[in-house]
Amino acid sequence: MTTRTVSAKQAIEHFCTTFAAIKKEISKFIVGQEDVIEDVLSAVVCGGHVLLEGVPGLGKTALVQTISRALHLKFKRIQFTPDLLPADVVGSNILIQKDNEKVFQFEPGPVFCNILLADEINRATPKTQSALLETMQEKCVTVAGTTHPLDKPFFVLATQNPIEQDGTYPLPEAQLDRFFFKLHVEMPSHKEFSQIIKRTGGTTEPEINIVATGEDMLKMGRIVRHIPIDETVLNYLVHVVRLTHPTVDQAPEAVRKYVRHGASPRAAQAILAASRVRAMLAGRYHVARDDINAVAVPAMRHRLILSFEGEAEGMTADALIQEIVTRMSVARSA
Amino acid sequence: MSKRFENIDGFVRRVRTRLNRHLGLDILVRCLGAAGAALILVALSYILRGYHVPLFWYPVVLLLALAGGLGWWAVRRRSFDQAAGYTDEHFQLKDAVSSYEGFSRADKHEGIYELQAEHTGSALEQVHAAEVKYRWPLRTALICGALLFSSALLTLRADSPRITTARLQAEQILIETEQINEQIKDALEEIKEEAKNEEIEKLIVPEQLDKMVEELKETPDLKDAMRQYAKLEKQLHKVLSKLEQRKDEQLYQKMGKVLQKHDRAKALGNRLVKKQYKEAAQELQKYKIDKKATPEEQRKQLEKVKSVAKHMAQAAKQNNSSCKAAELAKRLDQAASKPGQASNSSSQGSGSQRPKGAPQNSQSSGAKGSSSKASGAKGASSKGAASGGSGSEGSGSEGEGGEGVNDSLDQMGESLDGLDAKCKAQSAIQSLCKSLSECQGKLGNGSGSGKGKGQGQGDGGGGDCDGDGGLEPGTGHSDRTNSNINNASSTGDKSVLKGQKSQGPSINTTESASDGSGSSAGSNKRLIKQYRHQAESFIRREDVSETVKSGVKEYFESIHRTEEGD
Repeated sequence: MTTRTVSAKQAIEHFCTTFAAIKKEISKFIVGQEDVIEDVLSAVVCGGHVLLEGVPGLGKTALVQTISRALHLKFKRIQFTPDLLPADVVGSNILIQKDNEKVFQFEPGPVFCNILLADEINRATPKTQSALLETMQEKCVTVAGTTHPLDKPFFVLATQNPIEQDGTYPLPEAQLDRFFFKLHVEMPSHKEFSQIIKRTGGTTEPEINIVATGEDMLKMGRIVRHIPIDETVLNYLVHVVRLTHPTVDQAPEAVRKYVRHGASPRAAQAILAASRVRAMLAGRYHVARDDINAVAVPAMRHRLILSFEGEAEGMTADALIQEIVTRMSVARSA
Repeated sequence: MSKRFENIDGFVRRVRTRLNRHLGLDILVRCLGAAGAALILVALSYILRGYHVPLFWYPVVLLLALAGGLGWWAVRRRSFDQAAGYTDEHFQLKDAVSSYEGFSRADKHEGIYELQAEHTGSALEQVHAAEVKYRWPLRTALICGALLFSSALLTLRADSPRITTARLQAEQILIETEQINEQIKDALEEIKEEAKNEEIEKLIVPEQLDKMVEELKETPDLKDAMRQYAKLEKQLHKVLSKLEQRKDEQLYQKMGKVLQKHDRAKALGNRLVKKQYKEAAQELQKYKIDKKATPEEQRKQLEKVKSVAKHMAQAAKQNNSSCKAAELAKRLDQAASKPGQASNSSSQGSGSQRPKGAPQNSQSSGAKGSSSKASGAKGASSKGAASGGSGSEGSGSEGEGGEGVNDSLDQMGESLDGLDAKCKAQSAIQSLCKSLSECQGKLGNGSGSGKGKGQGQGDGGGGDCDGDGGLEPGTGHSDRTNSNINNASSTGDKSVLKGQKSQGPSINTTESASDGSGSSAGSNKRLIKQYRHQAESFIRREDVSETVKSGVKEYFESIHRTEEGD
């Protein structure tokens, strides 16, 4: 075994150990939601942002807070409201007295952190939502002609309520595309429900220990990129993403009918990164088609823009992506 | 590490071998099914037509199916990559083997790739290629077996009675055509023997007949056989038409009848009536004037010749015919009545009319005659004729006149010899035609029911035509006699059907109508038109002999001419 092999093995072992430790620590407070926790952690490891969607009270904010506590990262929260201004998010120059002089000084906004919780992000106006665009993609803020880099790592974990749509501003496609995953936080089961009550209804709360640092997260992110993918599996991934486009010849009939725009190459990047994480967590050193199938839905559901017919008939992006994945799996078996 | 790589590749190879074997079995079963289905179709195509299914189809179709299957297998067999994919799928290795093969091809072996190979190798150590088992397609195999069994059962079915009969008939026809061809060859040899005469050989062209007979083949096909015999018969009829000498025969017969009435020429008359032309020619030699005889005897001989020649010339005149026999009779008469002139005319005429092989002395005698013309041959002959002739002068001219008579007699003798040869050749050809017609009739009758006797046997020589013939099966009867036919030909009345001597069809039937009086208001044109159509279609049939065809054709032409005459 060569040195490279040994170091790769160590890095992967470190990845798996750290990931498991973080997950375990989060699970102390968050009951159930294991898939969501894993997906959020995958996105965080890969340096992506997550949009959490779920009805109020399911623990979305609690999940994000727990992650920040476990990772020993700087955490900030913005409660998005219609009157929130971009400056409230990214910061602004303020006039201050310094050495008997009045000068403008940049006052960083809440985005200057490692983990940003953008709570009910769809309640802010598009202008304010757009203020997050640069921070999410470029991981820096430009105010009054001066660019201010954000701390590393930087993750945005946004939440939105799917049922209360009055006075909300749906996120623009450009901003949605910047989210690595869109995760649905489901209602817990009966057992999980009682467990939640037991854990939170007592006098003490579970103690969350710091199990990883920001440096660990960056290191984990680097090893993820080394997981190889075979050409045939890569072709499979490209096929899956391309089939979400109604203009592609082989696209399923439902996609042609109900989809206006398919997933972007950024979706393929997200799928590949998430698949690599999944492969490593499964103890493999290569990406499998099953990994792609597993992450295709959270990575593409917010990137598919349904047509009027799709919206009218209540078609969901999840169903369309699942159909594509099923079709590809059948074709592979044949 | 390399051992582990080999293990992975070896594992995939083993899986590939098994997969290809399974594919081969699958294809074999399906090919056998397809072969069974094809064999059933082939068998049905034979059975529905009444035939027994030939067994050669079975190896042929099976071989074709196997060849097709082999081709299919070659196209469909699994590649190494496909086998790797199948291994992943079958052993749930999550694309480990496929990825490993991909990385190996890209020559990526270090670092994380080495870990991947280790992982894949260890995963494969826990499984066995033998776990890739073949699942027999029982349902398909059962269907294939049933199809093959059904097709095998269909082979047990024998030919239908109709086909069996047809096959027997074809065999019979083959044998018969073989026999007929032999007979025809023998008959042709006979004809050639009979026709060893330069003139006749020129007419019948034996080489052509030989070629046609050589072309005859043994065939099981009735139509084919009939066609080739009809063709030969047509050719023979052409030859027959070239040998036509009916007018000569009729005239000689008439001459014979006249001569029979006279004691001096009774023997010659009998020969001519009996158509013994060779004997008649020999008989004619007796009438030659002997040059060595005394003038008295010569005169007597001349008188005898003169009498015979006169009767012959009279018969020719009565017959009003322009045949060769008439010409010769006339010439003989002239030679006998005016020996000197006749000799001249004979010598003059012989240049153009003498056969090639005829002796040249007639010309020299002619020259002699012409030289004696000036010295009073003419006068001597007239004198001799008036006073019975005497003296050396007269005897000299008689002698020269006797030359002319002898020449004419020789010519007539040669003509009779030729006629005899022609008659024999004609008779041989006619008998060949007859046997051909019989063979065709036999083939036609033997070939199947429903076909009428296509041709009848017109006995032209005998007079009555026992004609089985016409479009419908049945027997016809003709009351027409040969004398009528001959009269018809002499009078030119074409409405009377001319029969061919000793051979030929009869198309005439006697229809009896009930007595009664009345008049027909309708025109017979429509009826004639209908008959004409029937006759024409009958003529077009290839299995109808030429004799019948020509008879029918002639009959309707004669009707047409009669109508036009009216």
